[in-house]
Amino acid sequence: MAASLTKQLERCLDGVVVGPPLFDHSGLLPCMVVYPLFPNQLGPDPPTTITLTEGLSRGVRLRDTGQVDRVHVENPLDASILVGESEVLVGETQTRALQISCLIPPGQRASIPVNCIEERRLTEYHAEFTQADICPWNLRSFKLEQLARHGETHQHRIWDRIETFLSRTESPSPTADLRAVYGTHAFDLNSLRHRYPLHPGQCGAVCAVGQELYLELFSAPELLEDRYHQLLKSALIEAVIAPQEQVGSPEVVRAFLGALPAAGRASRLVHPASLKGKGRSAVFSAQGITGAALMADQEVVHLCAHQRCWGRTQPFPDVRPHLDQARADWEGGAFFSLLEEEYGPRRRRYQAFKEHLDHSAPPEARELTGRLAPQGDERGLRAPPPRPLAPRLHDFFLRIFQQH
Amino acid sequence: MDQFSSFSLRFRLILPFLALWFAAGVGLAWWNPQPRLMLTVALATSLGFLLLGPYAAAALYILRLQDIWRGHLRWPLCLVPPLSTVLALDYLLGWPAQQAALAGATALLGTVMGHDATLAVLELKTTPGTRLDRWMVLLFPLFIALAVLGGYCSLGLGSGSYRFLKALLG
Repeated sequence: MAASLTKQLERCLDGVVVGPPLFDHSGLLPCMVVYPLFPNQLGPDPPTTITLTEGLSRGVRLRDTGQVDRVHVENPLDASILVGESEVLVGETQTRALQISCLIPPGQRASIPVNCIEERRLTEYHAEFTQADICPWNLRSFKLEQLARHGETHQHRIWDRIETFLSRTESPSPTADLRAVYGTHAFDLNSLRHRYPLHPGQCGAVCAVGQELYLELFSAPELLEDRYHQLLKSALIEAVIAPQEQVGSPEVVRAFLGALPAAGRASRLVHPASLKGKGRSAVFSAQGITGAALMADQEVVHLCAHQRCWGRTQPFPDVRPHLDQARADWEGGAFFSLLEEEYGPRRRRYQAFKEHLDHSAPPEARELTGRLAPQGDERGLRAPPPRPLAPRLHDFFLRIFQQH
Repeated sequence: MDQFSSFSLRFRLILPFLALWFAAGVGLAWWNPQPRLMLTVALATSLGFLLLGPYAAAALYILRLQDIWRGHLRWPLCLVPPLSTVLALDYLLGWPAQQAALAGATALLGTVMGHDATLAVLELKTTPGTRLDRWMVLLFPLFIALAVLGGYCSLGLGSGSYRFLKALLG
């Protein structure tokens, strides 16, 4: 298993290239740099998997089992659903976060492992989860470390961690809901996320935040595109709550990516027993790197990893010339135009595939979620998110129009 | 309490911005003191901000034009509503060339601001835990118009006072 994971990680990381780094040119957030990852080669076919957020709006049902560490999932669609590691499930019950990434095959029901992230709220048996969000990396890395060491997470330690985190970030919540931290820092998150836009065809990103590196990588750019805002938020919140002067340089990121396959040697299979399908999830922790990988059909569908780079980061002004150089190296090349040409038709086919799922979802699923019926045709026509003409002007308006 | 929690504190943030518009009013009065030009600037900016900017944002978003040509198409498309409006008004009202050019430039500026302000408003309305200050949204274009007017009148007042004092003191 370990050797297989190492080989798959090697193959997966050989297939990507680190793109021009994104950072806040105004210097307001010097402790965060996003290094986008692009596929060396993009195949002609889009994936046949959709993300949980997309699935929830098309009839996928997630229900509370009444147990703190389990939720029940039912996928009535003709597509596999990718439920992501630390994806937060929100509904009229205790908020949970998924422990690991897994694939829910078409037409299957399963019970998947979760952690409670809202300690002072009761579970509601059979209550539905209707939305998905994401945990901050602070909790994600802690959970992954626990899983890699013990093969399971200790719920009381998760609650302790959340309590400390909420207290440190001055995010009061009567139910100790981890998501309160996003409410407290909503303004900063909203105004800063535009500085790190997603590039068409991008399939992953390494976020260097202070002395930490956070990696997210998907087998298909479409999957990243559907989850990018969540994943960026997971790292951005860390930069917002603990601003620092230090940040990881491109060399540190290259070393991190180079060391990842070797870290995969100390892996542990953590796949839910009730899930029958081709996906297999594993967690690993070695050489200061902790991560989780979901594999299917001899490829890594989703990889997330974290490394602490104590002593190897540098102040932002020292890293800035390297970042500018890295950006300059990418200017004028034909890579992006070729990638966009290849990605455009794929993306359109993927949108059509999702639109087809709207129509193929069983009527009872549409009625139960109460969302498919009115939005069925609109969803395929969903417009790309609006982009400001002048990001600084947009930030200025966000600042003056927001009433606290 | 956050430093931008009250209207007056957030108002301080826009003072440098208003100072620019005030200076534009002074410059306009210096260049050509016809009141119709000043009114054109004030109205074109306000209407661009309140009507054409939101219209441009809605058109770009609904017609899915935002990502075409790597997103650069947004700029030329934002030129269309203000310039076509000014051309139509110019045709109907027969403005002098100077006034039409000024109206076009300021309506364009107002549209760009209105577009980004619309996105900010939508973002604040859809983000849980944030509250939109509707008063600031409505008053902001009015402040701009008043700043231009203030700049325009200040030069006249200053010049008149100077002449009056000069005549008084011999």
